Amino acid sequence: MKKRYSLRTSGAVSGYRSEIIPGDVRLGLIAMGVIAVILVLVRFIAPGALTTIATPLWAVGSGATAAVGSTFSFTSTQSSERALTESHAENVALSAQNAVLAARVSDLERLLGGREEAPGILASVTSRPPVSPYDVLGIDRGTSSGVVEGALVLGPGGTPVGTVIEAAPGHARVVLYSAVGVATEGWAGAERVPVTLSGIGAGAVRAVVPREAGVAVGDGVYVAAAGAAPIGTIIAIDSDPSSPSVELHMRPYINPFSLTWVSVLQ
Amino acid sequence: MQVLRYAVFPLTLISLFVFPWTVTLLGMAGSALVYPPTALFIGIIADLLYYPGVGLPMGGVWGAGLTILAYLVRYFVKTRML
Repeated sequence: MKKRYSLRTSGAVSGYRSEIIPGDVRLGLIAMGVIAVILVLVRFIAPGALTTIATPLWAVGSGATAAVGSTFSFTSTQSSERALTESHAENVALSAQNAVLAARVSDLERLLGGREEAPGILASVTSRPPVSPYDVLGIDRGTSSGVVEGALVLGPGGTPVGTVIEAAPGHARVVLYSAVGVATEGWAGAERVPVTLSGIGAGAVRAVVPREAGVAVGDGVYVAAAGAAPIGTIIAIDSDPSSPSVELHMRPYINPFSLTWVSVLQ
Repeated sequence: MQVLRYAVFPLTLISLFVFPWTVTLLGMAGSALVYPPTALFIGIIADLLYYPGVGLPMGGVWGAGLTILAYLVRYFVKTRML
């Protein structure tokens, strides 16, 4: 008995073309498309809802990676103890230096007139790079705690790290100065040369200044926050002899990969 | 092996919250080889979670690129060109 000839297997002979998108793939595409549209609508209509769903997952992720870091250690006990001793000594020295500087600030305030600093809102960081592909932090305080869009965000030691770009009732998102596409006006060097700081990701920032500006490696970089607040130091300067300007590369004081707490100014 | 094929998509979704974005990107590539539109889907989810509103939405860009690449690979393999 002749076997029934199947068009599907003889496509190359008979010229029959198989479907461009098979039926099961089409179904999956439609399902994913619907889910994506729903999530996009939720993102723009109720941004806090998506963050509320994601926050427990971020907490699990942070906890899991922290546990891995403490479980697997490639350093010996002796070297860890030595590092701890050195850290203690450095801590004592820095505390003493901090006390001296605080006294000096107090003297200057008495001389120039004191100023009430606005209290900051302490917030825990729920998501941070490198989990986030952009230099964006998620924090667990929002409009219900007084966080507003555009508010300045400070890291440990009062170092500015970025600004709030989105605030929901219980959550907010902070874009760091190092985020790609973010331009921040600031100053560089002892002469406070005005610069535009451009984020290039992963905590790094670059700026272009005229060659005659006289900025050198090791100079500080400042942004506007209670005067001029330092955010990092210049670690490299790229210069092209044919160009009238030089490119500054800055290393921030704060490592965005390890931020756990920030303070949002009101 | 079959389990790994079907596990790569949910594992990549989980890695969005746990692992660095480079691991998620690798997961997107692997997921796209199994089922190409998943790369675009994961990229869109990543942008919904993390995109700050400045610059290009790289999640969607990478997702679309990996999806197109995966379809091309499948086409070339099917037509015995690869």
